Amino acid sequence: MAARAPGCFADRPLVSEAGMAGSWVLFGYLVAYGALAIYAGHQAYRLRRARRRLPPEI
Amino acid sequence: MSPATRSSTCRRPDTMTRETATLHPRSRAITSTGVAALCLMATGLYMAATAPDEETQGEAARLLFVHVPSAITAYIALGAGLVTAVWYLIRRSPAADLVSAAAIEVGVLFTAITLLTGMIWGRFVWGVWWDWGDARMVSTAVLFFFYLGYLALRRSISDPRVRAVRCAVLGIVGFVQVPIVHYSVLWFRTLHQGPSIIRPDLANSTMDAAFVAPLGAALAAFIAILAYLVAVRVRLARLEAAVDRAASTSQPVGASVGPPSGLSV
Repeated sequence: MAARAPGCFADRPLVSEAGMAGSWVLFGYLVAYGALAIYAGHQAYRLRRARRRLPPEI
Repeated sequence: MSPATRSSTCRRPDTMTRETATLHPRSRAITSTGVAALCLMATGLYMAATAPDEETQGEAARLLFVHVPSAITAYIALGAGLVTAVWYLIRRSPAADLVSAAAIEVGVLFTAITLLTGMIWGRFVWGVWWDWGDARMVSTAVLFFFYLGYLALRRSISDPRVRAVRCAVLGIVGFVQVPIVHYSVLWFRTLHQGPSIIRPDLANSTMDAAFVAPLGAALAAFIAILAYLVAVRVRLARLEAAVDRAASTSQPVGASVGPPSGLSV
């Protein structure tokens, strides 16, 4: 599973097994929490925009 | 807190009606829920980072603490959508329709996160992003696209009452898929592993105790995030409905309490 460097580095992994797994984990967490952050940010933006469009007496 | 204190904090007049209060984009309850969600999220991330490596998957097992909570949270959100849809059909309460639509919309988001994190996890441990023969993956995808159809239906009907009834029926019918998704790993022996926590025999969890606490913390964080997002979504729907009413009529927005229009995504 670990990536290996070509040539003289072929005898040892460029990235360790734990490093590869950690990269996938980091990717998964970025996708999940990134999606939540994008959604929440979009809702906050729409909330502010709608509030600006309300008459000032409200 | 007295109304006078609250109005001075949020710069609202004391004479405001109940509806104008719900239109204000800031709310202490919503803000408190958001802060609690952030604190729980930080705790969950810390506990996930400090959890021990799993015996066979090593570091990759940490995806458990985002994939499983998002799936359970999606179940909860769609379940809330079901309960409020039933409530709408019984009582014809516009608020129930709004909450149902908001919960289902956020449930679709969590279902998407479940699918994406599951694909990433599967790519590492199984070597494939997707397997059309896997019952859990395919049933979750069907669930996701069904509820995307719900959101599309919501946008396609302009009459609030017709939209609310049809979407309530669809939300009730769609929830039938949730137990199918959950028990698909028991009914079909395919690639996805069986349930570890929510099992038919609840006393026999197969998960090590070292993973249960971080999973619980992550689940609490996701449920708090769900509550926050649904509350914000309901408030946004009410605000946008008031803006539409103000644009179409000359009457003051906060003066009348009519049925709010549905969620426009």
